[in-house]
Amino acid sequence: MDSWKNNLRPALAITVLLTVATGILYPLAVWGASLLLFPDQAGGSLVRSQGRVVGSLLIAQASADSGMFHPRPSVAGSGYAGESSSGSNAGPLNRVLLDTLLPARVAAYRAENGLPADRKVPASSVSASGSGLDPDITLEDALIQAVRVARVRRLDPKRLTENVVSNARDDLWQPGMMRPVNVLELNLALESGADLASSLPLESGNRSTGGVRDVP
Amino acid sequence: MEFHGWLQLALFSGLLLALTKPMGLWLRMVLDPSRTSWMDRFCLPMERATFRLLGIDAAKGMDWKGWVASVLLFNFSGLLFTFAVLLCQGWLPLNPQGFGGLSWHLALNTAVSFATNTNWQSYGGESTLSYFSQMVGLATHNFTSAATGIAVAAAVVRGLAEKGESVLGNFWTDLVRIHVRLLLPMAFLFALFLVSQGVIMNFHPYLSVTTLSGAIQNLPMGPAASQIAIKMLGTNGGGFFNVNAAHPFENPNVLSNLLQILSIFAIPAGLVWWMGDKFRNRAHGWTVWVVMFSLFLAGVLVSWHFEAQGNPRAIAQGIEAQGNWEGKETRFGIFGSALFATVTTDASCGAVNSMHDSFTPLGGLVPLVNMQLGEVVFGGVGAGLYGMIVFIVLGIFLAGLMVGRTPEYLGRKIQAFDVKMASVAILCQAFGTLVLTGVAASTSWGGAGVANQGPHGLSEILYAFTSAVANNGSAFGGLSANVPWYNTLLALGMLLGRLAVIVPVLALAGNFSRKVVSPPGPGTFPVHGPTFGVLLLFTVVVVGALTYFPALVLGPVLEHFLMTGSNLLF
Repeated sequence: MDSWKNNLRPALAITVLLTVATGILYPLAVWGASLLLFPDQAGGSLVRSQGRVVGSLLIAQASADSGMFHPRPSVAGSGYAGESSSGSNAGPLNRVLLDTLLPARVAAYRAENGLPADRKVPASSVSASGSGLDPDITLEDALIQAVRVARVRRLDPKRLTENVVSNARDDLWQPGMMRPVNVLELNLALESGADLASSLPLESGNRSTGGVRDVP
Repeated sequence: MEFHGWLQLALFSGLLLALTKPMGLWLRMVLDPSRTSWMDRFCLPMERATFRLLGIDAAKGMDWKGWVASVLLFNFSGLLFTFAVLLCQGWLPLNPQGFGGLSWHLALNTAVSFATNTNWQSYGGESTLSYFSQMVGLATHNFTSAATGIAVAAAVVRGLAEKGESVLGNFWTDLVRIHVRLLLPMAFLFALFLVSQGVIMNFHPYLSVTTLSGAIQNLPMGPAASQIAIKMLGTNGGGFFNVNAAHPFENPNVLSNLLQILSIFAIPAGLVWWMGDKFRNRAHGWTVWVVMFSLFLAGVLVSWHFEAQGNPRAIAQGIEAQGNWEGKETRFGIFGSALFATVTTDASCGAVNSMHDSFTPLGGLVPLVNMQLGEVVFGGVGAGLYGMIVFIVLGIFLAGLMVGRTPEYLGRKIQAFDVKMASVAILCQAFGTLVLTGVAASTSWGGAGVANQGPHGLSEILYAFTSAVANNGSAFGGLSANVPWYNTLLALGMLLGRLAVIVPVLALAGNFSRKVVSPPGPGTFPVHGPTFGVLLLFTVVVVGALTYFPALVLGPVLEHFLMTGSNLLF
């Protein structure tokens, strides 16, 4: 019994001490150093367009407009809900996934991008991401979408394709067409029109913010 | 299984190998108070002041009962504190979203979960917890439960290595030194690295933005980086956000992913080296390392293979055969997801960067089996090592039976008491996992929680209780576990899985430290080299396979054959 009695005081004292050290002082130290060294990242890698914050470069956002690039399917909340990240958790024999969701997504992808009915679609473009907020699509997916976007916006498809390829991150880890491309970066470039030589001038030439990214 | 995956695997393995000895040397400066090092100059004054505040004699060793008492007292006072914080969340500061207090069963489940180094998430971080609860209630346990694991492992190794009543050391001394010399500096640097990659660290309320297409989106905010750094290093795994390391704010790119995976194994691998050093038999340490690495390699290759093959039912719908992408993030890809899933369950981490529930049946079998083997593949910080020591004792005992000699480990006879303690540790795990799974699977509340019907539903329940008892914390996330029955039974499983191992291994170490040491003779069974390695490997695999095989056949194995050989859906 002595070992219990003798150790009660140190147990309580160290609980208090460690709570202060690891629960308060440590996060405050990390916070302070982050503000000093990496304020943009610590604040959520926010991006601005026309002087207002339009989102985070790391968080996917819904884009129904055919003239914009679409992120992967999302089941976070009602779709791309930043405050409730979630995957589908559908198993490989899930009836809803295989009977309803997947056929519908495949058909919609083909229809929107003008693909023939026997054309296989990229696996990632019809599978819900793990977080529901995946900011990237694969290069393969982006190139298929680029044809559509160029048609809708009446841009030169060749220049847009080149722009998409140059936006693909050159990660050692992803082979060729599976390299990630950030959807928001692509859409911001479309909105600003800065890097895209268009066959027809965009309606709102004054939209340009002078660059793709304008991190506060 | 493309070239880039192999390249990443080679790089990861190389980094792990390179990191093992330096981490071991660092741990030696932390865990051997009698040895002087350059760290003393900075750390000793702070440590001495702390010891005075605690009112303890830092140099005075405890016997194994003292260890059990102090570990339990410390863990339960932290548990009660967190339970109270979570219940009272609504009245506490740093709560910009105005979240209310948690229900009693969710608060209980979460407090137990973090105190036992499990970090099971019955809650969704960004929709349930305030910044104060995350920092003060939960992140503190990420440190203390990890330090508890390391300290217990250190005591066990000391008990096996040396002879005497007080060789196990002093729990309070270890606890303080582990924080000051290892966890706090390491976590601080790692957190800053994570912020540099894009992990958020602020105290803003959630940010409402109007997106490019004019919709409103709420961006979650919060002090994430500090918590994520220690959640990986301490093999805790409790995410700041609901989807854990799949969240772009928690794991923004390939580099952060690779280093997060590596940080899970860093301390456990170093501990294996330190054990060899302490036993004055580094070859023994490296043999154990190789056994662990082989199990890791087998797991990652199997999981990667099946995930890369993908779901034939989905491919038949007209999608390209690029692997199983449901629940995976583009920036990690198939390999980066399979590697994370394997490592997080080899160790008792439980962080996830993809949804294990959506894995192919056999791809998802790997994390399940990893946990059922007792998470001894490098394992949780400390927990993996003392778990492996249980298997070493058992393996040598079995080998002794086979050749008809008295089994010896480190010159000491393995006797009835030791084998009893090793068996208790192993049996309690299996008992907890299988009985609780059986209870849940045969009740209405248990069945009501599953998200996928058919064999996958059983896998979800089996995974939940395996994860709880093994103190892992990852999940087949479809299971709706935030109900009173699941929350309380999972909490029970977590406590059983933690205490029913810690207490017997401390008793085992205490008993070993009292034994007569005999010098090695010609008949001594060497504890290094291939023979011992294979023996250890088979002990781990056979015990795991015999215990859990029937349950696995009814879940993932059946599902695999249904997927490839039938047209049933559930």
